[in-house]
Amino acid sequence: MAILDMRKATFRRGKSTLLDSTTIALNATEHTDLRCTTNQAAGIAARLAAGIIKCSSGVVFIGNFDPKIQPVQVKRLVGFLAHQRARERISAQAYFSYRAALWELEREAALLRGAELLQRFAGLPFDQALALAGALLHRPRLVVLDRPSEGVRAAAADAAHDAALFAAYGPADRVARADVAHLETAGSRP
Amino acid sequence: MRSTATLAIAAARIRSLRPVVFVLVLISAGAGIGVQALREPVPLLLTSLLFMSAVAIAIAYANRPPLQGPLAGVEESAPLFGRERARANAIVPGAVVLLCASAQYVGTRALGHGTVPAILFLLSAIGGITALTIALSVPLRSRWNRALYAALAIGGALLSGGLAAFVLFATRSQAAATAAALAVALPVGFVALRQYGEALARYDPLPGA
Repeated sequence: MAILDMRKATFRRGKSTLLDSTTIALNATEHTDLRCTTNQAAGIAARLAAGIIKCSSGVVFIGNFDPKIQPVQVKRLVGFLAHQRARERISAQAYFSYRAALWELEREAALLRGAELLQRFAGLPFDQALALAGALLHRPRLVVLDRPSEGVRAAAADAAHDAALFAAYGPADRVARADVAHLETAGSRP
Repeated sequence: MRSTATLAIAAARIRSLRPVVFVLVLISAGAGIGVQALREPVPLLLTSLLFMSAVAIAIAYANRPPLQGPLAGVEESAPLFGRERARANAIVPGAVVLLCASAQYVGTRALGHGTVPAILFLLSAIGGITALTIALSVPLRSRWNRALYAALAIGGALLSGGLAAFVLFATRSQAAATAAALAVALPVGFVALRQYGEALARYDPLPGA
């Protein structure tokens, strides 16, 4: 069963098509990357795959749930990591407590798992390690990364080896994997 | 309703809104001193209601989830219904509006002549809350709809305050005036908050370029 089934999904706002027709099928433990022609298209593709935004045409199913109808069920399955642009200090405890509250996790167990994940990502800069650990805190079945660094992509692939992983990249991002060419379908039109 | 999620979102908002709240409270205290120059209660209430509407729109704008930093995208990706997020998102701005109305009153008492009746600030606080519940949807709208919602927010505050002022001058009863203001604020706030939840559920937050 495909955990992510995106067929001819587009995203428009007003008269602008921000993401052209995109098709991705991702099974339970598969990992794949998508290169887009703009950074915004990459961010939109990642958010479509995470059920945060809804496609304008085409279909997106995540774990057989439709994000337009069952957004809460979808979001329980997905761990989303936004593109990190600014470094802002927040304590690991406060961050994991915040995420535990939003995902209805038991706080102490979440803090423990968060600490384990942070230790695992010790090679990454603290803010990136923290954000990645937060995204994996609720043991998602699909990990979605919006323009991750090479280190974050590798760490996420290692930590989420039993989950599906989808990473969206902009035109200038360095993509670690070699098999991305066949997925270069997303683009933007002004 | 999940109280832990609500409290967590409210606490995150308090952290992110601190600088804005500080500035708004200072401006409100200054406005409290300034409105005393009007002397007459009707223009004073009208000015205060317009000011509180402006505060409500400003805090509604500042209340958006963070676009950068470790909390970026967390609230949007959390398994919460739109109505849950709406209630959680309204708590801190509502408290800020009440704080600004209080700061206005303290401004009149601390540095002014202290002749402005407290009921006028209570009515403007209720009007401000009415405006806020409508104004929360302003950042989720675009172009003309944004202006329309801002106008509706101001209209809601004026309707609440106007009806209360009419009752106050007709009956001379502060309790009746407060009840009249609440009679507008509660149904308008209920409908506006539900509508905000619906808008949040449908809203597609775009990433930065």
